[in-house]
Amino acid sequence: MTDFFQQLGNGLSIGFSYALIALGFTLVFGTLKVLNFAHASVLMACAFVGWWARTELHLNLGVAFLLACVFGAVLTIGIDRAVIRPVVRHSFIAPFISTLGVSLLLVAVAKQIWGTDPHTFPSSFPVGDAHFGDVTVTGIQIVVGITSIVVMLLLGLLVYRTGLGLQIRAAAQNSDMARASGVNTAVVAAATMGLAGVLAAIAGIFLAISFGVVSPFVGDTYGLKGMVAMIIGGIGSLKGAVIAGLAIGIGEVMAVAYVSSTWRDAIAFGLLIVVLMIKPRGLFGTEERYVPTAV
Amino acid sequence: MSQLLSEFWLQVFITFAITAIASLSLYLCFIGGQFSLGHAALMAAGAYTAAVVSINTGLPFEASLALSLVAGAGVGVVMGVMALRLQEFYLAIGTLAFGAAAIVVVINNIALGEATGLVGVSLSTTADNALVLLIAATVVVVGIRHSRFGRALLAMREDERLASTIGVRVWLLKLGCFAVSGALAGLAGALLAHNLAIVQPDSFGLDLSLSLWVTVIVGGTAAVGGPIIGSFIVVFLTEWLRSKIDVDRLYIEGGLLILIMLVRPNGLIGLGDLQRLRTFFTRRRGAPPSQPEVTADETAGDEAVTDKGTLSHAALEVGHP
Amino acid sequence: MSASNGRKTTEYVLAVDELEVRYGAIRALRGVSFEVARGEIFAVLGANGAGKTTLMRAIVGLTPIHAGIVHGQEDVVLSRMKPHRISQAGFAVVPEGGGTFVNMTVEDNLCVGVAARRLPGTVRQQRLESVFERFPILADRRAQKAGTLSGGERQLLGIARALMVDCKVLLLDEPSLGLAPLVVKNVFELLGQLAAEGFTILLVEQNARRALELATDALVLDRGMVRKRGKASDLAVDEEVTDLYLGHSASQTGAHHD
Repeated sequence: MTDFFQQLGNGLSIGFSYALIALGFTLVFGTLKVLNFAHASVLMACAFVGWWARTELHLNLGVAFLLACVFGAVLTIGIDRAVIRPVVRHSFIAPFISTLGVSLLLVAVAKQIWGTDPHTFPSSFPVGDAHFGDVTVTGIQIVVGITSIVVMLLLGLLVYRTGLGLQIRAAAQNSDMARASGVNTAVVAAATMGLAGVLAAIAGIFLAISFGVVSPFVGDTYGLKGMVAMIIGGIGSLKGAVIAGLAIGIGEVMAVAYVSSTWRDAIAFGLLIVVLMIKPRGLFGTEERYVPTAV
Repeated sequence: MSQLLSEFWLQVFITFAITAIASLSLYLCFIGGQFSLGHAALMAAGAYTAAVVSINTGLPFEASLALSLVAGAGVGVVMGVMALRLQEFYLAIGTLAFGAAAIVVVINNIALGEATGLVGVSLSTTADNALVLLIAATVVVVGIRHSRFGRALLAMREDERLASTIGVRVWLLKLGCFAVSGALAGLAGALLAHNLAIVQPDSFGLDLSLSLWVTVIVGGTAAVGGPIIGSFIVVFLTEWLRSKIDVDRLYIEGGLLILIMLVRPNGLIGLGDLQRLRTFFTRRRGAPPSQPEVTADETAGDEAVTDKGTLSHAALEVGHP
Repeated sequence: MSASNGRKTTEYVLAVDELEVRYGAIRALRGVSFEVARGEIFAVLGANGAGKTTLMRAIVGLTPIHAGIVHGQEDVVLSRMKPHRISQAGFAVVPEGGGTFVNMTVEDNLCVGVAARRLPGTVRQQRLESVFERFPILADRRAQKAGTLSGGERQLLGIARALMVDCKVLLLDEPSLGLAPLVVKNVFELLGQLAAEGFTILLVEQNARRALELATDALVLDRGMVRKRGKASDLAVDEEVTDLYLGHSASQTGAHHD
């Protein structure tokens, strides 16, 4: 039984990262109706920035973390301005494609600068492990867990209790009406993108310290699963993203522990297919059609 | 063929032909409005079937190809079941998940070589037979495009609900679309297997499905030539650029995608081009010039935003014959 | 046609000048010109598809303008402004159906405009209170999602949202659509009251009779062009207008004025 709880703890830890990635996706897709395919690669880029800050600039983890967050926000806003805004009016698929292009470019750049082999992320960690009977929760897991929860709560507060959050929600539901009410959707877009960038950076750093490595391909698998989590939870639903992310994380760890590690990747996708066939819009999704918001 | 090109470029041509056939199969799905990100799995179905047939049985190349068509169609239909429940974006994601899950299934299957794959497929693909099959595939797709089936697909793409009210059996169309598309993709996969002599699960991941999308988008969806041109550009451009500068393939694909979206979002043969081409020819025969302006009601044009804020899928408009 | 052409734009709160809007090759509006004076009620009539909604959207910046100019007062050029700036300049629109955010509560709906203008909490509370006083039904429903409100209530909510942001010009698109006659009467009475309080109202309506009863001036749109323009009382008895839009009975008995 203790083994079960141990696995549960591990699963939660991974799940938090998936949840954060999913939150970034769903925030942008829900509000701006755009699927930012580059989100996953931004995650990878931020992880590298954090790694570089640690190994080259010898900054401590906290500062590296902040640096990565700023980088993530700026990069995402930049991507929005450069390849999303200009193509949004063509069709609903165009931003998908252009951000896909950016994603490929980011991976290419990472490969060029840092090579294809994974690099170790310095894992000296100030927080020690905690023990609950036979169950060990590592320092990393504690920090990841607490930070994730705090971030999610802050995000919830921002979206549901502030004026900016109100504007974001209004723009998400009906961007024309929001603009006609005085909402500057360009600012909302930038804020949403910036938030998503920060979320990507946090997720990227968490994955890096949890697994101890960074590589140009980190974005692909984790980003993809984060996107899957977004859809399982329902596009635009913050709580759905969290629930789905945690479910996938726990499911994967359980599959590896009790079935076989080779089936791990099938969990996320299998779950997606099952959920979509039952609820074609995800657990908490809405009936809306997704039409990109022109700013 | 072998007299025209060097060994290297022959191989590039083969890659182009295989890509083009797969691209045509995806294009077929686009005609029906079914956006699939799982076509790599359909190619895998064909490739693995060809590999198993070639390695384990004594059946000839033709048999291998024929069975791959069937396998591709079969897996296509299974994937197509998702299309009965999901639309547009969700279908794309669902097929993506299907493709990814399918690969995991393969990796866990001993008979299919698990993660290492299968080795020893006969090297039967040549530039000549690849070309012949490409031409055959093109003929098939052109034929479908102008047939009743094709028109029904277009109708379904325009407005599914409307199509069903005029007697179109949408579910049958969808499954049929995925079946034929799957068959073509399977064929491409088989050619690939017989070209490389090995099949590995890694080669049939999301990258491949996305690469196919790139070829279709770049080439444009207004005419059957689009996917072929797109494949040509992606394959030959990549090789040509790589022979000049040692550049990661990703730079080219990524750059192409961004460039196309910013500059020519309808692809190289977009809807507008075909219409302009048509007008050009009819005008020369003394026909009246383009449509007179109409002052009318709130009906929106192709690029416009209607009062409800709906954007038409302009970039993926398949030209009406 | 520029603003400095000797025309006194300060008398008017809204001036539209040779407006042209295109959807691709189709001209939805052509050569539309009119002015709306402060405090008046201006009706825009016309059949379905004549361009009424397009006109409204063009004025508030939601639909791009191909040619022509839209001014507000004091040479504020609306046609060059972004929609949120137009809103902040005092132009509030209530689209068909009320234009409410159906998944948000009534209170949230009311506060969107205030949040966008970053007004302090005290101002927001003040305005909420005065709006709830005027519309007690909205006060009752303040925590309910706007989607659960009836059609008439949503229309009121739409108007209330406009009042929350201290607008000067209120543009309404078909406020009577889908509402029971009694509710329509209430809404139109409200509009009359608002005009008396100093608001300027631009009303797009298919219900021509009611609109002309309420309005001071009006115009008739036909396939994107201004067919008739003038005082509402004149148009109400104009034969062409009555035949096309009011039905024969009105042309025989003349307009009704309460």
